[in-house]
Amino acid sequence: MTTVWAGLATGAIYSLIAIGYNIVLLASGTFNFAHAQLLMVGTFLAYTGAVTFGLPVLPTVLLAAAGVAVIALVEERVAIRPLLGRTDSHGTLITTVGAATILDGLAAAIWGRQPLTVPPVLPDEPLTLLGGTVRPVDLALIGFTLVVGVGLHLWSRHTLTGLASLASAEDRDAASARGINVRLLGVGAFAVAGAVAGVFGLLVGARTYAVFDLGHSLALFGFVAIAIGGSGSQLGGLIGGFATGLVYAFAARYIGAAYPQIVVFGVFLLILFLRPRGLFGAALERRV
Amino acid sequence: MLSVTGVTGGYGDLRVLWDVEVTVRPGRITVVLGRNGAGKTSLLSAVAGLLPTVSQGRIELDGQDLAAAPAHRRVRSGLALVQENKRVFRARTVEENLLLGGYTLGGFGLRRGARRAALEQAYERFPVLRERRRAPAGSLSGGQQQMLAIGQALMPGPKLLMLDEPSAGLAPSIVNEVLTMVAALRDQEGLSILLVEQRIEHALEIADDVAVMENGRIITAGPKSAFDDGAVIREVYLGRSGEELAPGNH
Repeated sequence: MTTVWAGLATGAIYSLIAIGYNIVLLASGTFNFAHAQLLMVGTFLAYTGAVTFGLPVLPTVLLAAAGVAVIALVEERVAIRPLLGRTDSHGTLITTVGAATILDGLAAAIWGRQPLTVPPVLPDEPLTLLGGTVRPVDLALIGFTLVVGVGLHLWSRHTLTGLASLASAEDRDAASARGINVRLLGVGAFAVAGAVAGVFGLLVGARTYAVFDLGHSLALFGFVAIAIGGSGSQLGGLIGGFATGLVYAFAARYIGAAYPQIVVFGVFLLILFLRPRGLFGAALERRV
Repeated sequence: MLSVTGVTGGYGDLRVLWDVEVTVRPGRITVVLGRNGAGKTSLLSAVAGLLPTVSQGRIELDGQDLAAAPAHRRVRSGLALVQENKRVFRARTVEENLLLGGYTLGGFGLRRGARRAALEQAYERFPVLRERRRAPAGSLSGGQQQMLAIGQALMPGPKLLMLDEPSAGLAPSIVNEVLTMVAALRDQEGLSILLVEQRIEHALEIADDVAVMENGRIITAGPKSAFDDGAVIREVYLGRSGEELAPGNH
């Protein structure tokens, strides 16, 4: 059971990446390749708040949330908006990868290349739960990720703005013709995705350290989570992330520490072959 | 009601509309005719704010110039567009599509207030949509999807309804039903309508005014009575140049 808890805690981070991808994808039709880097910046801002400034938990979380939201808005303004309306829809692939590279470089320049320890917000004494041991901070990470993932899923199905976001993802022009401000939705999605990444900076950093290339390694597993769960489904991203974490943890435990990445990407390829839409993904049909 | 004056625009550097002028009188139907590629859909897109570039001209609804307004603001001003090919949100349910149609009605409650009243009105107008309200829009028949698209556009209570080839891809019996319904919206609800339609005979039956487009320009326009002998229409669809096609000159 300890392996399950470890897999779920790691998987929660992958779920958060997938959720961030989906927030932006659903509202603006853009795949933000820099989202994992936003989570990485969140861990550094959490470190800055908690260690450099010595702030309590809540102000630290607010600092990280606001800081990453602002960075996400700058990314949208610089890397996305100039390309809106262009017929070449692949431009944002390049610009968001560019934004990811810039964020990696800036983080290394500001905070250095050595991992920084983000202090756990809860006692570090492991708990025994359902026959396994788990750190309280990991339990909080799993719980809050579930709350955010399920909450966003319900929001997208049961609120007007959520439905508008799904409609915009399906057909931006048709959504505009219904009076939906698709540009505002897109900007709002970047801000929300950034804020969520920032809020989790403290919990994620406590598990991974704050390190400049964290986004680079997490992004790949976020893709796997999306592939398993299906792009455009918040519930799918949530489940895909946890599933990826569990596969990783069990492969490391029972096959060997050198093999979990190979096994995870094997599952990734299998899903692509057998069910390219993922388990819950709706095909985001687009008219061109 | 709607006055489009000197509108020139297109897709970036590619111009598809040249100095276009069209009017829709209050409570009347203006039908825009023309061959494929004449610029009819682009004209509706320009009025709805969906054409990427409108370099000059005025688009006035009840005297308010909307030429610079983004598409979502035009909907709030009273314009509604039913796009070609029954363009509904196929992955969403019928009811979700209708609720999205009422997006501009205000309030946060999904099924509350004005949106709820408009939803009930849409179901009264199209009872089949109530029966299928939980079905994904993509699973509806072509005729039902067209009803849904029109119902969605009517949700906010527009002043002007624009329809882009509502009969496209529908069986002849359904075409009559759809165009009869369009005429009823004018006759019973006083709605002003700008209709682009390829089925000329059907469209002319319900038209009050006619505008004919060719190569991105309006080549002739006027009351339907000026087109009654069909000569202008025949000449346009047989491919002759638009010169001297003003009603009465043939």
